[in-house]
Amino acid sequence: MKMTPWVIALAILLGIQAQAADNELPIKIEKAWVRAVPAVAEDTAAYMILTNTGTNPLKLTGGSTPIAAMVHAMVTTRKLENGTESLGMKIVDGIDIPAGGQAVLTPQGDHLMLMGMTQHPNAGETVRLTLRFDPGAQEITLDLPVSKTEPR
Amino acid sequence: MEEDPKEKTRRRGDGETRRESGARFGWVWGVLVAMAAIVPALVWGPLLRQGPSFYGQHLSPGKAAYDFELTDHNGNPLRLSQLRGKLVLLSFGFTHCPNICPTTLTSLNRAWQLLPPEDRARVQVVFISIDPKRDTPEQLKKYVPFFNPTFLGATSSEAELKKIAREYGAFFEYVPDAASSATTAYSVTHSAYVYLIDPEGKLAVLYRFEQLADASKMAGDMEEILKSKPERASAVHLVHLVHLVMGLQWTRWT
Repeated sequence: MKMTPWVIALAILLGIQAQAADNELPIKIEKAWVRAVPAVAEDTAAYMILTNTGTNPLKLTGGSTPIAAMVHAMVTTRKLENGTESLGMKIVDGIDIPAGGQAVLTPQGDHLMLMGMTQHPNAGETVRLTLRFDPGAQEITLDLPVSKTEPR
Repeated sequence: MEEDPKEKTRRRGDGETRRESGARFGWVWGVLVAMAAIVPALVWGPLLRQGPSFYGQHLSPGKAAYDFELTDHNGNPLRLSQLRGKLVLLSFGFTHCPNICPTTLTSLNRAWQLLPPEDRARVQVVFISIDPKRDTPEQLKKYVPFFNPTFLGATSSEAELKKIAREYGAFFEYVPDAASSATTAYSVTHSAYVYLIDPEGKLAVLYRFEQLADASKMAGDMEEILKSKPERASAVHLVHLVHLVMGLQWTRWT
């Protein structure tokens, strides 16, 4: 029975391997989460850090999720109006991830917007999210934790 | 070093001179101690006179914040002047805002959580919706308390909101959704500052959206402001006074 922890560790490793094999895109995704929002909210946002470990540029064009009608790539826009900085958002056709580079999606900047929510998962639950990348509309599916604040 | 017993006696007999030299050195020490006290006072004094440093942009001397008139999420009238004695954190937004507004309210809640309980009671967060068409008090009531049950959502007519925004140097603009022809499909571009109003109703600190990421530094500013503006002889003190008098009466009666 002393072997149990090793067996578990091996199983976890194999599990990770299996997931990695499933993911043909040279993309590493870290710190991914979806914001828990009140039930009256129609939209929410997903955040993550995407690292392109490959040698070709990629573009995150959006995706899909069972909890909302649409998933769009959004960028935060800034504009100065009489010295007052105004923040807005713009739906874009994609967020570039240069070869060897990163796309950082955080509450302070760009993000994926989950528009037209049909379900409102609570903090602590998970949300399935499929990300779509160009070229080739390649997809990666992940389960993201739902949280009120950025997980530490 | 070997000690000569004679030397020892000589030293003992030498007490008087030693005390003299001790006194002389005492004078030097005195000067050093005085300098140790004066020099930092000269260096730090002017800095301290500028007051404590704040994480946000400190507006000193703060001008009186515009006394807005709103309807809160319970349907009650809400004027800034009603909140005198409390530190008010004001932000502008709307509930159909998927990123900036939830991020702001979440950060304000984190800062609030970091305060000692007695300070939390002296803080009021007010989220002013600049989207009165969609954000009715009922809608705000379902939205704002999600982030913290003590936070208040409030709104007013578009004309009054425009005036409030102008007074605070805030900005908002409705942007139609290109993909939809529905009249409710629009977004709002807005400035995302948080305004800290001190318990006397003066604008004290301004935060840019990016600064909201560090809730502990915001909580530090809030504690600093609350410390510098201690609670006035208020209802709380009156209650203490009543208790004291009652206590004295009680001792006399018994």
